[in-house]
Formats: sequence, structure tokens, C-alpha cells
Amino acid sequence: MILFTSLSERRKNLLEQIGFKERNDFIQVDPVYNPDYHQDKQNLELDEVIEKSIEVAREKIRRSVKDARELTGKHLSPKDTVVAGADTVVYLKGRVLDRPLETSPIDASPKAIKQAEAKAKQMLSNLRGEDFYVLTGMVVTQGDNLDNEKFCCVVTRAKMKQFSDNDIERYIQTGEPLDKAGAFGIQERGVILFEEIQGSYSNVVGLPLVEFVKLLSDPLFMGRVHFRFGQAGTPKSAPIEEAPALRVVSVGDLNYDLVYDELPAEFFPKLQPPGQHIEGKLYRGTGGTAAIFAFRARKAGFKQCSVLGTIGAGPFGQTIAQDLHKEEINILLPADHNHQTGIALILRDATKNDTTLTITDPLQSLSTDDINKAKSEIEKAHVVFVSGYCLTDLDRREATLQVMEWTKKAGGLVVLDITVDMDKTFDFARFREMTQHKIDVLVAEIPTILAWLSIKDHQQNEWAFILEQIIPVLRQDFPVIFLRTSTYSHEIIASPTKTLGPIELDYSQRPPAQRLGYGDEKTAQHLYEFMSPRLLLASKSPRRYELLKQIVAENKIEVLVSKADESYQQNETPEDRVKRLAKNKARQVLFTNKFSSNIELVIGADTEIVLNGKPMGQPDNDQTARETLKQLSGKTHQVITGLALINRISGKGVVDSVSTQVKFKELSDSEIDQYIASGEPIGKAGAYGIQGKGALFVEKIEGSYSNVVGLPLERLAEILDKEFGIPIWDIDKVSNWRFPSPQGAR
Amino acid sequence: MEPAYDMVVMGDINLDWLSRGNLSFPFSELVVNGVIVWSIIDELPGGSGLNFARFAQEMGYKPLLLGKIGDDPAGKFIHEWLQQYQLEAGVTKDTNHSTGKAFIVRDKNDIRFLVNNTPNANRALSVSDVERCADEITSCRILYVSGYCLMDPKAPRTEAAIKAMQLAHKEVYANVVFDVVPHQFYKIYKFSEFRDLTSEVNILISEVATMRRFLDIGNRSEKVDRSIAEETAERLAKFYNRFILRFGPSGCDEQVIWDTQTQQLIWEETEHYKMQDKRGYGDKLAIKTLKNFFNIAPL
Repeated sequence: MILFTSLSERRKNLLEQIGFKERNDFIQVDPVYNPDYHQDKQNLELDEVIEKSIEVAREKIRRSVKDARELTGKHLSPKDTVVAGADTVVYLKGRVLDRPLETSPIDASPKAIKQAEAKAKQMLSNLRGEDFYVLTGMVVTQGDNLDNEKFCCVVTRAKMKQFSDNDIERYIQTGEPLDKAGAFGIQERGVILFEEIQGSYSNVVGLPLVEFVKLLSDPLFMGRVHFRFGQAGTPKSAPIEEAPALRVVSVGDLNYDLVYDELPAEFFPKLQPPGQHIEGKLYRGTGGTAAIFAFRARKAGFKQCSVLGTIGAGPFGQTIAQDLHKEEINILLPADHNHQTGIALILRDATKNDTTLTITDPLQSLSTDDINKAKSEIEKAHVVFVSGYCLTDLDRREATLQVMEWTKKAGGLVVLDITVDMDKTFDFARFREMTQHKIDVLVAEIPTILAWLSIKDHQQNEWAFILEQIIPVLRQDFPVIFLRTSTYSHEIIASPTKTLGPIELDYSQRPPAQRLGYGDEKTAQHLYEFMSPRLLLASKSPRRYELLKQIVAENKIEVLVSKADESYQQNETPEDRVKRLAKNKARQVLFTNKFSSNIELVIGADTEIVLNGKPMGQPDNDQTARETLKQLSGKTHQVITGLALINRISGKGVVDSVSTQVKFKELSDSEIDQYIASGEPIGKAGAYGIQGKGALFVEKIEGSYSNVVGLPLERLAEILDKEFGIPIWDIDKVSNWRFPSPQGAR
Repeated sequence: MEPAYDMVVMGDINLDWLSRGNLSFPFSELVVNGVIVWSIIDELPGGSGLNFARFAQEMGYKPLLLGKIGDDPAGKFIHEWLQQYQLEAGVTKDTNHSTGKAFIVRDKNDIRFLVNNTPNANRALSVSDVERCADEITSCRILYVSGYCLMDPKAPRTEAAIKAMQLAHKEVYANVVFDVVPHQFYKIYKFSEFRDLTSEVNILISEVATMRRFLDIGNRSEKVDRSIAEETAERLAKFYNRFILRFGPSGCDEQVIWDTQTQQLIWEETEHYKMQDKRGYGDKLAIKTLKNFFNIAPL
């Protein structure tokens, strides 16, 4: 058993990558130690940092051993346990770069975040275009016998690209660099800042695997560590979702609706005493703000929709549940036996102005207990739609604000639909204060906003006024705004940088029966257009999909397996071959036309391992895998990936290739046999997976790590940005809102 | 052996949704776009038949409610409610029609607006449904038929109601009570047709104004008072032996009751204006009158 003195998730993933199992083989503890490398000296030599990193790793062990003894009252037996300490630092020109933010960004105050952003900016500016070092000092001891130890320090040289100030700004806006040493995350979007690395990739992540295993293999620790190299399978990649399952949670009312929409034109003004009894067709339906939006979201393309609202356990609640189930919409809360299902009576006349009277009972509820039951679904949602009624209703307000906060923290998009007369419940200042930083998209009818801002001398169709005076006011608090006239004649869409509209809407041309939920329909369509996939990956490789997800949000990627011919051609260089195949894959997939309508770009890739100019192929049996690995043993080979990108609309294409040098250590027959027994080599170029246990064969790489896995992210990001105008930093951010049509954009 | 039921009731079985209280604005203000009102909506089983049966039960009768509901959530809701009161025995499900539903809204000026779904299960009650209960009908003391049963001449229920009235008179016990609702009944039938339809009726219940329209006396703008009611009663007595005529702003603030056999006529001021819950007041009044004036007491 290994007691690892680090709580790092990245280190845990690395240990699992090579077959260790948490709790069976290792446990992680927090040494609570954040040393200041520059406590005694401002400028440090590389050797000094190496020495210090080992000392820090040793100190982590000391503290952890002491804590364990105090906690359990027992010694960590040197006979069964090893204790491992590691400290990874980024070193640039005499300075060790720590984390801009010491705490988690979730717990940090706005002031601390601002300071950390400034610090991250400084660090990234200093790193730009520079060579720097990533060092990990490691110490392993026999239980609490600290005299019996082995140690080393691994140094990897890396180089950053000449990225721009704008890149730095936008990277910082992603929030990613704040809690990372050196202000970059090589396992996240930060990878695209790198020019190359020379040495161990896993060292840059936080634990140099080859050297760590070497330390553990020392006779000093024999019998204490169960190394499962040839037994346990490599952790499997998640299965590829061809089209991402976009998730929506809709928070609001759930009603049993009764609709009568055959009243003659201007029925209400003409109604005389004592009244009237009308007989006709009453429509029953499931309604309420939560349900209607969920229905429209399903129609717009969102695959997984859920509603967060309350229904009773009686027949009406059961009917609502059945209706939602039919549309494959989940209800996040169980039916409440103490609650009566909400009912709404909707009367609609046949005028062009569409006069409706909706009477709805105030039976909705949403408690803190309720939302706790739905928390995991809320955190998984790409979009959480919130009806304004949940804020005007005091019984639901607290829970709703909590839902919005959870969504934001989990990276979801919060959409608030302002309900008619919301201005009568609280003033605009109170609304801003209540919802500060919690809303991404504000949806409202213009008269409500005018009333809220106490504007009486302007009408809702004075477009110049709305665009020049109202939108800028709203933009101060809300990144994206959908404004509609109360008659749904026009709509304006505003993102932080662009405004579209007024766009004419077709509401009045629709028959009355198709008008219900029109606003929600538009909102759902706009959201889907923004959230839905833009990139189509023409590959069956789960590894490429995982890599692409590292820099692009999952919902922006769709996958379609290419059936392009991959046969060799004579006299073709490896570079030409991977480029040709990448291009063929992209083109083949593009011609199928079997993908989402919003796809902008197709990405094809092909990877080849080349040793001494000869392609090594992908083994389909153990024997070929053994031969390939024997050939690669102790030598440096090239990994070349061809990359092809084609714009679906314009047809513009860019084809390129990236090469990385990979140096293998000398492999023993036993190591090769064990590795083959793990099943990992089959189907992989060069018979190894650097992202799996194969990492233990790689002594050093020169170039791009992701290229070795199968998709050179650094180059891909450059092409996307420079050739196709798709910047990776904010492809999924509301600042890069995708508008329905370019016409009318200002 | 004593019959299981002393009363058979035919009329609507509805699910009523009532917006509690009045809207804060008159309907006339609804001119453009949507208005959303938050109001408690009372969700109650109702309808002329269901209400009458329930109130009769409260006053000691053993009613058999004869009607139809749909195979839908509203029907399920009503059926569960009827089971609570053991009133479900004569109520069957119709899979082709939805349960009768009504929603009722009153505006600031107390203008009442009621929407009723049609077609609905109520109207699907057929002769065979009635024949299945022939024993109960012939052996009961009161057969109550709401006017809604004859509202749609083409609906199976019209024929079924006529059949029930005929069955009731196979034996001598039953008193056929016919309630002329809704008020605009006269727009559907001529008086001669109405008389034919109600030839088996022993006791007629109606608003004065409805009968005046049938009898073609007076006009719509007249305000019904005691003298007008008396004039109406005199004319009606030529055609019906026993009846209850009501009038007043609510439609049942006063009533005149006539019995040819006893030659008894009484005036009664009801206490409708005092009632907090006015729902079903006319039914309660009718049952009280059947019991106390016409001496058709529960078994």
C-alpha cells in the first residue's frame, strides 16, 4: 500500500492510468504544506530548486506520517507500507511560479479572484515564448522509517508559444489558470499555449510515471507495492456520444391546463350581465412555465430535458407525469402526496391581438429539500431555465436562487425568463442585487423592462431607443438578452459584443392553437443554436474525442465515424499519407450529411508511428504487437498526425501534419509480455498508448504530447482560430453567442 | 323487501373548476394580450345530477346517481370522490368521451362566465344504461331528472331520460321531478314539445322567467315579482299539478309552491342572500321542499 501525500486529482488519475487502484493500492492524504520556495532567496538556480523540491516532498512525508500517527495512534508499518511525497513546481528564470490563487476559485472572494487574475496575467506574460522547466521532487520511504528512503527529481523542459495579450485575457476569463501552478493547465485548455515539451509529459501533469515506478521498484520497497501492470485493464474511455446529449433543467410551474380558445373575437369586452354559458371543446394539456419550456426545448433539439416543479399524487399529477414521460421529459421531484396539482384555466379569443385570460392557482412550491433532491441533475445540466414566477413567489425564491448558483458553479448556463408584471413585485435595483452574477441569458418582454426602468415616454417599438438606451443598461448585468414586444411582433438578441434585430416574428400569422408557448419556442431555439455542436470529429477513436473535449466543451462536438479507405499508396511519405487520410476522413463524413444542422467544421485526423522512415501500423494480434514493441524498445520514433479541417458551408479546407519525437526506454521481454497481457496495445498505432500504461515505456518526448495520443491540440487550436475564426477560449462562452442569422447584425 | 334506493337521480356529473372570488377587473378590460391572474381554483365534483344526489344523501335519502364519466383523470378523480360517499353504483365509464368539465369565472362586476366542454360523457347515457337500473327506477320514490338531460335532442341521454320517466310510472310509487335547467331551455323546445317531453313529470321545478318565456307571457325586461310569479303559477297550474317556481336576483330568492291535489299554494322567502356558500343552494331548497311540502320523505 502506498500512502500518497497529495490530494491532487491529477496525480490520482496518473496512478490509475498505470493500473494502481485507489484504496487497494494507494490512499491519498493531505500533508497541509504549502512551502514558499523564495522565503530565503529571491532568485534561485535550477539546482537549488531541484534540491528544494526533494526537501519539500520529504517534509510532506514527515507531516503526513506524524498526522497519521496522531490520528490512529499507530505507526505506519515499514513492512507493509510505503509513503510517497512529491512536489511539482514551474521554474522560470530564477523564479518558482506558484498558483495565482491559493484557495479553490469556488470559495474565493471576488477581491481574491481579481488579485489572482492579475497575478495569472503577469505569470502568463512572463512565460510567453519562453523556455521553462517543470520539476517534480519525489521521495519514497518505508512506512514511517524515514531513514530508509529513495528520492529523485525529474525535470522537463517546456516552451510556450508567442501567444497574444488577447489570448491571455481570454484564457484568464475561462477561470482555468487561477488555481494552477504557473497559471496554466496542460491537461485542460492551457495545452494550446504550449509550443513543445521535452522530457516527461506526466511530470508536467504532476507525477513523472516512469521515474516514480522506478523508485517503487527499488529492492528497499520489495513486497510492499502490488504493481498490476499486466493484470488490470487500462481505465476505459467513456463511450463516444455521436451527438452530445444536451441537458436542460426547466424550473417553474407544472400545471394541469384547461384551454378554451374558440371564443369569438372581442368576446370579453362584449360580455354583458348576468354572464354567459358557453359550450365547446375544452383542451386539456400539461402546462405551466416549466413544462412548456421543456416541451419546446425537446422540440428544439435538447435531448435530455427535466422539469423541476411540484405535482400532486392525484390523477391530475399522474396525467402531467404521463404527458411529460411521453415526451421523454424527466420529473426531478417525486409526486407530493400532501400537495394538490396546480391548475390553470386559459381562455383565448380569436382576435389578432390574441386576448387571453389565464387563471392559475398559487399552488406551486419549491423548497430547499426539493432542490437538494435534484442537485446532481442541476449540476449536470448544460442549461437551467428559470421562470420568473420562481423569483416573484416568496415560497420558491430562496431555493431558486440556490439552483441558479449551483448551475453557475457547475458551468451551466442560467436563463431567466422575466414574467409579465414582475416589475410589480420588486424594483429593478432589488432584482439586480438578488440575481447578481447568476444570470447568463435574460428573456423579457419590452414593456416589463420599460416599466422596471420607469420609462413612460417611450414605446416598445421605438427601436433606436431600445437599442441605444435599453440594451446598454441591461448589458451591465446580463451577458445575453432576448427582448420581445408583448405582441411577439419583433425580437432583439444582444450578446456582450453584438446586437441583432429587431427581427420580425411570425407569431401573428400562426393559428391560435399554435401560439401557446411561442416565446419559449424562440428561447429554446436560440439556446439550442448556441449550445449545439459546431465541430464534427470524423473519427472512431475515443482518445481523439477525449482530447478534443479537453479544449472544447463536450456539447460543441459531434462524432461521426469515417468509412474512408485507409489503404497505403506507393512512394508516399508518412506525412503525405496521414494528411491524405485525414482529408479523406473529413470529406467522407462531410458527404454523408448525417449530422446536426449547426455543424460548421469537420475535423479529420490520422496518426502514424514511424521508425526509421517505416510506418509501424496498428497491431491486430499479440504477436505483431510484440514485434512492434521490440522494434521500438530503446529507440526514438516519430509520431505523425495528419490534420484536416473543412468548413461545411464555404468548403474551405486546411490540411497539416504535426510530428513528435518519442524516446522509448529499453524494454525487457517480461515488460513487453505483461503489457501485451493488459490488452492495451491492440489496435493502437505503434502498439502502445501513451495515455495508458504505455506511458511507462516513454522516457522522453519532444513536441506535442496530444499529438502522440492522436490529435495535436496546440496546432488544431491555431488552425481553428486563425483559419476559421473559431477561438477555442470562448467557443462555449456566451461572449461568443451564435446568432440565428447574420442579417441585421449591428 | 325495502328497496335499496329511494331516489334515482339523472343529471350532469362534472368536474367544476371555480375561480374563487371575483376578478379584480371587469371582463371588458380584457382587450389585448395575455393577463395572468393568480387565484385559488376550487376543484370540485359537481354537475346537476351529482350535486342533487349528494345533497339528497345529506338530507337522509338513499339516492342512486345514474350517469356517465369519461375514462380520464377527471373521471378518475370524480369516481374516487363518489366512492367516498358510496354514490358510484350507477355511474359508468364511457371510453369515447371525456368527463364533463366546467370552469366558472366571475369578474369584478359579478358577470359570470361558464365554459362547459362538449361533447362529453354525460350525454352518452343511453337507454340500455337506464334499462339496467329499471328495478331501481320503478321501485324508487323520487326520480329526479335535471333539464340538462334533455338539452341535446340528438344525444342518447334525451331518449334515456324519457325512458326513465316512463319506467318510473310502471309502478305507482315514483314521483318524477323535473328541474328546468338551464334557464335558456325555452330556446331549444317549443312549449308543446316541452309538455310532451314532460308528460310523465309529477313535480316541475323552474325559474318563473323560464316558464313565462315558454308560456309566451311578459317580456325579458320585466322584473319578476310576486304578482308576476302568481300570474305564472295560475297559468302553469293548467298544465302541471305540482310545481315549484322561483324568482329573485339570484334566481331563487323566493319561491311559490303549488299542489293541485291539496289545492295548497305557499310563498316562501328563501335565505339565499345569507348563504356563504351558494353553490347548490337551489338543489338543497328543492330537496327540502320535496321532503317538507310534498311529504316525500326518505324511507
